[in-house]
Amino acid sequence: MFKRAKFYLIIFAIIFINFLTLDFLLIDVEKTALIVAIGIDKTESGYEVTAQIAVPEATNQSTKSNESVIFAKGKTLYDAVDDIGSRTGWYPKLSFCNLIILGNSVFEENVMGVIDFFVRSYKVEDSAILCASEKSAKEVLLSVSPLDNISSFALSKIFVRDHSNASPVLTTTIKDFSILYYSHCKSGYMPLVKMIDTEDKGNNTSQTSSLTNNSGAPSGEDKNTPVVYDAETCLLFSNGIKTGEIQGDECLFFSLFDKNVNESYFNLEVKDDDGNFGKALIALKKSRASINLEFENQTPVLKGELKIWLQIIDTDFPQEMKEIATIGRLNEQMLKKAGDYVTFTLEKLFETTKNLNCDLFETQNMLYRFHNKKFNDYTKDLLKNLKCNFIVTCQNYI
Amino acid sequence: MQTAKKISVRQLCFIIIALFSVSKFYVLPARVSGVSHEGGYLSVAINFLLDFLLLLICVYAVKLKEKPLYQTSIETFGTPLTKITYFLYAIYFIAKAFIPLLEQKNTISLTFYESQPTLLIFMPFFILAFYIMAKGVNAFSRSVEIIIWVFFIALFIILALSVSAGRYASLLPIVQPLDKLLKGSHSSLLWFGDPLCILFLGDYLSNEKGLVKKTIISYIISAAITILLIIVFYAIFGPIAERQYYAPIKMSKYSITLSNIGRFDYLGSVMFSAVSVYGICLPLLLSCICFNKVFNLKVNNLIFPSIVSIVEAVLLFVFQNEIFTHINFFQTYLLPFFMVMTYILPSVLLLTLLVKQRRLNVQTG
Repeated sequence: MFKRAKFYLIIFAIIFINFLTLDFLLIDVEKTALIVAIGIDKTESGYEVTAQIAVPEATNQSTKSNESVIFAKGKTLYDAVDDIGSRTGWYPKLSFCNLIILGNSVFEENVMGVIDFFVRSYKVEDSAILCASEKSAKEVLLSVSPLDNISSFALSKIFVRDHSNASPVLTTTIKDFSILYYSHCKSGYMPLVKMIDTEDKGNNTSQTSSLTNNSGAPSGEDKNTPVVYDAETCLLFSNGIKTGEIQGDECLFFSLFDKNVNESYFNLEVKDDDGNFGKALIALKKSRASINLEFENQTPVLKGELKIWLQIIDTDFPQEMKEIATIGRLNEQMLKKAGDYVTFTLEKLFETTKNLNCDLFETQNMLYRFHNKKFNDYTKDLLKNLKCNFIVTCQNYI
Repeated sequence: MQTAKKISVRQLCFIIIALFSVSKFYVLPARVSGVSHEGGYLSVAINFLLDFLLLLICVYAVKLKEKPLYQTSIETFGTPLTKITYFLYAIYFIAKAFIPLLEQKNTISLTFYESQPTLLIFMPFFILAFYIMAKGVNAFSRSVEIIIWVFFIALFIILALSVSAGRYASLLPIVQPLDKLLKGSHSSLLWFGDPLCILFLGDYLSNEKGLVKKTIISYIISAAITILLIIVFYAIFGPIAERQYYAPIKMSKYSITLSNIGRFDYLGSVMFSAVSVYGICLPLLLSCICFNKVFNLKVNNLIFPSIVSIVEAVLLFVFQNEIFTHINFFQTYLLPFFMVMTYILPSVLLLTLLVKQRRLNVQTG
């Protein structure tokens, strides 16, 4: 009995001493750089990575964090990320990185050359949001927003929304983009971020640290001009190559096939029962959608059925009290017009994607999954021969 | 000979449900998805059918034998052959525990550490394994009564967070070419053969009614849980599933809930890792039992628990990197050995016992 206890004691002592001398191999949090966003630009010699970092600061006076943007270069993406650690002495912790911005220079080639790093690496969560930038990714991360001290946080706000709400911002993640790319449709989409100057200059000009100022950041007045972000344009990709873009209501109505929606808005020109004519803001209060690939006389047809519940929220012309009192009901003519508009927009979207050779509706995947026996015969010219048939049913919400 | 304490059938059922399935959650889903793609769950189902036969073989062998397995084997095949076979089984169980051990090591390294941690942080596992082996089967089976609840809570957390994130059309078409499914089955065979444990645990089983029925139901539950997890896994990742190793830490992070509350899915992952520790210890424990028989040692001696722990630790230290190279090595060179030990020898034992019983029946008229 005593022997056994002695044996356990020795083993325990060995382990305990090891743990104490190795400090549990934990990284000191003050030496850790929490990377919250990465911007990627392509240069002649390789890649330039712009990392927005929140550095935890141990202090008993303030819990405020320093915000920094730093730059690194490398022949490959990982080389550039690794360079962050070499330059700063921080351990770049990428697991908090929720936003990846691809600069316009990246789209000249197959973007999967960049994105597959994130699929391969376990350092970055593949649930991070992926977006494109109209300018360089560096400029987006260095921009100043009145919405948040950290530009990437301000930008993330337009991507992360209530799941039941739809908007023209078509959000995607590393995982979702990669799944589409590696599936039979080999296509994808990504929101394009545009910076819009705002008159609100604000007084918050301390977003960039000294590191930023020493690292080749754009200088001059533009740097401090507050901007807001617009991502209602969506880039389309085929085989990883950017082929075109869609925007506004095309994005909004496409998103209805991805999820059931409880709230969204679009504009429509309407004429009410009193003969008033003008623009109205229509609320899309509920939607149910299905989309299938069918064959009619050996011709592949993309059949989409969309049922939407609508309500008038506002008009740009005065309405009578009886119209206002009906809680935004649309008359038959308005419902028909709304249905026609949604159908027209979807058909236009279909033709656009077809012409761009982008399988946005995942018809190749539908062919493989639901018509597997026909897959080999139809896959080659599917998009070319594909017709569409969208049936949109509109009704009043109340 | 020391009288062994008994394992209840309930405890055996818990071992089947929790420990047989948990080892299949980590590398297996990605590996089988890489070969069978959307038919991965069907490939795994084929292997479960094969293991179901093994389960029946082992359970009926346990029921047929009148003496402990070792004695039955000596009386049937002779002492030298029995000792050699038991020695080989001891080696087999050490090898069997190695891949799950590597999986756990990598899971913990990737989940909780930014940089590659030293192997010393895994030393507590070997201490625990040593302790479990030293305490023996009875203590192990009693602790599984606690572990089963940890397993179910972890499963609930992981599935609740991941089920809604899947696109289940990715699993179509259901009808898949047989050769593709069989290739997937072959690539995942290393993770099967667990019912063999029942043959060795049989000596410790209490004489309760309903052994066959209860073990079959438990096995079906275990198989259903694993297949369900693989279905959800492929529905979430689709064509990139091949790259998504260590499924529990990967598949639950897409829930919208986590963006508001934080990554509490790690709780489920940690719980699964705790269950996996017991899953790895089971073959190590059986290895000790086999060694003890070969060298005629008492059940609760400390020699082989020490040796087995050290051997496993040295193996991990030497072969800690490139897990997939080792899996491929096992698949190419050790799988035939595994197949013989897992499926052939128990079948031979059952056949011999059946023949023996038939002769006995003829003799007694």
